[in-house]
Amino acid sequence: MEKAIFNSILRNHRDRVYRHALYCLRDCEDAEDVTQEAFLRLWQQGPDLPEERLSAWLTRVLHNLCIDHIRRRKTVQVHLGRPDPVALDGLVADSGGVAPQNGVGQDLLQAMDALPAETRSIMLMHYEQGLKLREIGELLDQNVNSLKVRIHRARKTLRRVLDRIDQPHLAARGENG
Amino acid sequence: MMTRCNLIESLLTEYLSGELGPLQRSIVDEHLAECAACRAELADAREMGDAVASLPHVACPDRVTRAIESVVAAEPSRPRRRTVRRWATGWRTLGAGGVVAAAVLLAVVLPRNIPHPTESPRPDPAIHAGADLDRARAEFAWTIAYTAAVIDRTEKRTMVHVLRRLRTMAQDVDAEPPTGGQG
Repeated sequence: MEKAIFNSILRNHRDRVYRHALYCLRDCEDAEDVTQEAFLRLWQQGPDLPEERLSAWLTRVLHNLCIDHIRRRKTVQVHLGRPDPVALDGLVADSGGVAPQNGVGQDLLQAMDALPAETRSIMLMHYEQGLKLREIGELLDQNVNSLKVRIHRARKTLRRVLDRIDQPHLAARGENG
Repeated sequence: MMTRCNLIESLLTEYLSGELGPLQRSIVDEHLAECAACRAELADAREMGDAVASLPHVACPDRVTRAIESVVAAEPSRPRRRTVRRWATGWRTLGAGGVVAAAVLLAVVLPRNIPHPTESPRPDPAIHAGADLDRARAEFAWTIAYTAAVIDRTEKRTMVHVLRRLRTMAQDVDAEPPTGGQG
């Protein structure tokens, strides 16, 4: 791969890659590690393809790296304890952006923690990056129907968790009784 | 058996992303016109999707870009695939362990066994020709840069954990009373 092509992909896709890693992992340092790793793999192992297809290749690598990272982190947490998740305001402030005022984003990220790692990444690909189900299916070599089911269940889970966050008294009553 | 509402519900993701064909879309539209429960389901699905889509735009920190560019800049061109794969898998697998072993060697073994630098023999110029030396230096620099970039936070934590344990052990050894103590 020519350096010029690599640099072009880096400039055009770095924000998308970082954002996906950040919302998937919910940790700035982990997201930085995964972003670096994804681009270094592109540089080291990326096939000689047009930029659009390299973008898809990069997305698949990123998806796998995020899942590996979450699985490994769970193993570490068993021994070292769970780190505090980074708040959305902190994530956004760190990048010089503006946090939403309604607090929905914060609750949503908290709710997304309830999803399996792979599903979380797929939800971000579909809704945040705007990839079609067919495109995600081709990227991950998965059946579109199974993706539909997974996204449908994920939406239900998010709704349930968000309702619990909105009405903690009901959740507490449910646990007690 | 799948009811009509279940069937429509299973199509809502594609309905919202515009991936349904005209026939399927008209079937969903007709059903939505007469089913309040499915309309509520559609509204909920749309709300969830919009919420994820409206997460704030976060830019990649410049330090990440610089770290990637520094690794790429250290190479004149992409290295041969075979070499890279061996290095990549090797470092990924051995990552923390290899660096920790090197740290142990530097911290514990070398200072006690290696003579002072002024006493060590200088490399033979005939063996280390200029070009070879430059190439070795370049490869070493690249390897260090690559390792620093690919070791992730989990591995760094592991390294820190192991190094702390080693330091504690070394302190314990230093603080140990001389032999012949009271038992």
